[in-house]
Amino acid sequence: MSISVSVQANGPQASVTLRGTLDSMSQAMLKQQLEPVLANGSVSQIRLDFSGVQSMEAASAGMLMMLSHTAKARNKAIGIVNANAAVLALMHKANLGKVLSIQ
Amino acid sequence: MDGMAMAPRADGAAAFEERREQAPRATGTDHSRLDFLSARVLEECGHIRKAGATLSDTLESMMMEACALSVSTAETSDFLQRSRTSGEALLGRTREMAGLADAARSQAEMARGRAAEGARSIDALAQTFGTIGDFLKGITKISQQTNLLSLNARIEAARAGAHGAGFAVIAQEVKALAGEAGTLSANIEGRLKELLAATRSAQADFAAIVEAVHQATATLADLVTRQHGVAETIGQECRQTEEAAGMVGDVSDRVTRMQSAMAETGEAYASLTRSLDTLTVSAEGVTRTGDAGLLDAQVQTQKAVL
Repeated sequence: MSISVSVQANGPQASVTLRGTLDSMSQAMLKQQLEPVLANGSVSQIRLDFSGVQSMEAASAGMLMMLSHTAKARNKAIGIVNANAAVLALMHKANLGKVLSIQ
Repeated sequence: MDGMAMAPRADGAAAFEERREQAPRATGTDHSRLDFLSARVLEECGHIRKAGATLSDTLESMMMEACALSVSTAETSDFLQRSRTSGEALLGRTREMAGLADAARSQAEMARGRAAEGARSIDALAQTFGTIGDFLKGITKISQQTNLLSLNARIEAARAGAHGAGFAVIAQEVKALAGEAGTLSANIEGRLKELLAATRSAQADFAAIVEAVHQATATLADLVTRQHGVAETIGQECRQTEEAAGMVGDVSDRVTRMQSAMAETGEAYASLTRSLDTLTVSAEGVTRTGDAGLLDAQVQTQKAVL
């Protein structure tokens, strides 16, 4: 199952809305979609909206972790919002909450 | 380069102009050597970039594996925690059952004592019936002697003739009374024998009850011992589960440290990439012809590092 990504940049803040399942097949697409946002010098805050994500593979948390470090190296902060309970539990088990903000 | 790298951007243009004035004229040989070196630097930068990209991919794969491992250890830890809780509940129930079985064993011991006491009472009753039988034999004997006396009395009354007629009537009555006493005594003895037989039968039943209660007590004692053994085993399992949970916790801590180390490696990689960009810009500047290209490289380098 794939994931759809929509990006809305508004000044220093970019909002990225995800829909579908985040797994090894779909995470390459997410990275590809996020690359212009990471390259955008005017963006300092990236908000990943997980309200449309039904499930997520544990390994994808590693991709998000590395994404967070890449963003940090480019002086950007990443935050995750609206994740469902199962996805949220998985994120915490993967220690994702230690490197980025999860709400 | 270091000095330039630390200078504020606003001073870059001034420095450029100053260096341009002071720069020695490069000869054709210098240029070809610089071209060669810068080409080598760019080539090496390309190799480092490729290696860096591989490192980055590997790092991301490792981070993904570390996260999967972290989730697995967290879930294993949860499972062990639940197992421990269930084991402790089972241990509590088993101990409770062992306590109940022990109480039942005590009750059975008490019943066994009471049954033994009852058996002794029945035995005493049977002995009492035997004594009563002896008394009845005495009564029968007296009855027989009385009958004999009445016979003698009637003989003596007959010899006395008319004067003994009244005495003969009394002797006849005594005979009738002795006969009734004998009959009653025989009836009582018959009933007593039946009662004695029933008591002996009850005594045998009581003995069987005592034996059954004895067996039940032994079985309950065995059950109590086994339940204590089961409780001990469950307790050991709980302790082992707790130890396993501790080990999984250690694994989880190590995974967390591994993730931190990989994050630091990622940050070092990002820093390396930035340095590589700077070096590439510098080398590309050098390849441009003339002193202007060299100085331009210095300025580009300065811009890149700021």
